[in-house]
Amino acid sequence: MEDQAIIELYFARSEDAVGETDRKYGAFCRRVACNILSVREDAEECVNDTYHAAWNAIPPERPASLRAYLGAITRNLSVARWRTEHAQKRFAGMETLLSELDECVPAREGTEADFARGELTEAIAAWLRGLAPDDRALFVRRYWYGDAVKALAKECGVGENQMAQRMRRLRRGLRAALEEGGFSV
Amino acid sequence: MNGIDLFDSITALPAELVEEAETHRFRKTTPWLRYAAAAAALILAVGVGGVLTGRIHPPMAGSGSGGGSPYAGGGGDEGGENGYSYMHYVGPVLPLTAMGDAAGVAVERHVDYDFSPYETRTENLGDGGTYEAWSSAAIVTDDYMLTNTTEDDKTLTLLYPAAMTVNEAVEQLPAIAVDGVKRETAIYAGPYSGGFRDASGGHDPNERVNLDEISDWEGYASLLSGDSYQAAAFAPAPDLNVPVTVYKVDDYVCAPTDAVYPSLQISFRVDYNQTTVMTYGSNGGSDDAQHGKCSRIVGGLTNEYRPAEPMYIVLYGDDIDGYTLQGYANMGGDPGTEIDASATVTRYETTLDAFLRQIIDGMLDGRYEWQYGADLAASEIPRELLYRLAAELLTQYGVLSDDPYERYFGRLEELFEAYSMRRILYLSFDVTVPAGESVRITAAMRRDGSHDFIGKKKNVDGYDLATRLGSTLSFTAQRASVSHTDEIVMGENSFGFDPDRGVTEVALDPAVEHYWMQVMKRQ
Repeated sequence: MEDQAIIELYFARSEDAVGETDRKYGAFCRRVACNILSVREDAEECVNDTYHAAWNAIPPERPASLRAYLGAITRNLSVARWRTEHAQKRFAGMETLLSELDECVPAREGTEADFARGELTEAIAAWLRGLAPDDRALFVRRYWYGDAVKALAKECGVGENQMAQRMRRLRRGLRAALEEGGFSV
Repeated sequence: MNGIDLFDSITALPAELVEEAETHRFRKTTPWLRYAAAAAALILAVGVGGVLTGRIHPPMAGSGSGGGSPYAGGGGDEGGENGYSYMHYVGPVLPLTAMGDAAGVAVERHVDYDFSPYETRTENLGDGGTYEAWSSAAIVTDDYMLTNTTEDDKTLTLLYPAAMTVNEAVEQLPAIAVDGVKRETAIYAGPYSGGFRDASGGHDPNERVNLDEISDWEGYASLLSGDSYQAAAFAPAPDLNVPVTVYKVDDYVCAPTDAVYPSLQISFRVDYNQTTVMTYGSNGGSDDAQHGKCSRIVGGLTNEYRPAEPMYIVLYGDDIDGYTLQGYANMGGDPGTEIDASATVTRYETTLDAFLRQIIDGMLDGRYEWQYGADLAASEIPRELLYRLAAELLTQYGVLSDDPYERYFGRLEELFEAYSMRRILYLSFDVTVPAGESVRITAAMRRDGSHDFIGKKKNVDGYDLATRLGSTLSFTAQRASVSHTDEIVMGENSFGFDPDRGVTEVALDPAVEHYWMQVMKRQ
């Protein structure tokens, strides 16, 4: 079912809205949640919470991309769960993603500087748009979708080590771009 | 700002970037160069005759004896604490596999380890004296009976994989026979199977300076867990038919001098963002990327034991605007040590492919025998395979890769290391198994024992076997045996061998993927 038709179900407060959402995007939301939380039961709960959130938000919201909209909700719910429970060290996926993203944090300058979350998103998006298509897709697949390095390596037909060093190069590039853009710790 | 902030900001990325990534199809080609259409040129039939005579001298001076990578980081830091992790891990005997459909073909396998090389023998010294020697190796016979259970004849493309270096392959390449008749095979080579580590043995991503070869079974299990490694062996080679400018420095002239090591330096300005500088035949130099200054030096201009050979500066990218030559009393190239020396510099244009072939041919054909030896030329390893492996090293890890590893800095002599990097060679051959009948395949080879260099297990040799790793064949039974065990003491092993009690042949459990044994020379 097309996204527009699914959204119309939400607007009509039809019981089929969540069912159709699950049919089209259930696997996707579970993948995003599992890549962060690593525990299937916790991921399932986050996916169910995603559907609740979407039901409560639509209408009045009318997302342009249901995939991106639902994925963002799932990510936020998953990381919120991780923040609450990560002391138990059960969420290996999120730990790995965060440790990698820590490498992208620009170098400390003499004084602390505030940044607007939106500005940081725009800067990352601008940097991504300047990359070759393969590199752009790899970065988003790794750090938005949370796909494993091994899986990405297989999809590109390269070894895991080679993919890992390619991701390191991308992280260094983002860090340099953020430093150039005036972002700092 | 921290990783969480970045994570949250990434969550809010525009939808089109998210959508694009989901549907994007990755290019499965070498990032730097497009694949050549002439992949068929890399596939050469080669006769596999059996054990060749002579040792392989390593391709790089001072790199140790053939048979083991001198650069091995000794990845098994635990030094062989368990039964199958070693500082020098040769790798398991891998099972035969097939490309394409092998359904309906039942396979029985029998692997025999013949330890006769451990028998002490008397060798002659050149001066009439003798010495006693023995070898830490087994003659392995990996025997298969393929039975076609269908009603149609089946033609299979079989691959016999062997974990080894190209240098080792000169003497240890498996000999393939079909129903007792030797069979020619085509040789393919997978990528370098190991990784890299830093100087202190860790994995600093900014200091990838030492080879870090697989040290245990788990490494091979991971390497061959999918089909990407084998597929890479059959992928087209990098296309190096790109233009380069070469400056050949030759015909050295040196005025009489009492300098200890007369040397000649060539210096030039270069934009490192526009030009990749490679060299061959130089002994040293410096790169100042910040100021765009490059120099290369060659020493021993008048050394009677080491006649000066040409030095080549190979430029990929923009040409240079000129150069200067200066002689020095030694390779330091320091002010105040200048001497009167010069050379003829010849500029020409060619392709990188042609230049690499020239230097590899030179190494193989003995023109630079005093540097690298020429034993590899006496082998039956296809020369095209040697070109390919050097090209792969240059474009995957060397100065022409997207992310050059710190170990490599453009001396093209570095590329000969490809022949001592451990990988999996695939011997390919076709076999037709008539309907309802059987065909016997035999792979015979010499396998060195895995070992530690120091520690409590340094006199122990390990031999490993994989029952089905990487194979698409359907095995109905597997057996293993040991023979000529008088000269060895069987140690711990997962096979269940106990030669001293007469247990020399065992059935293997198909659910067990890996078997191992430890032996020692009987004193």
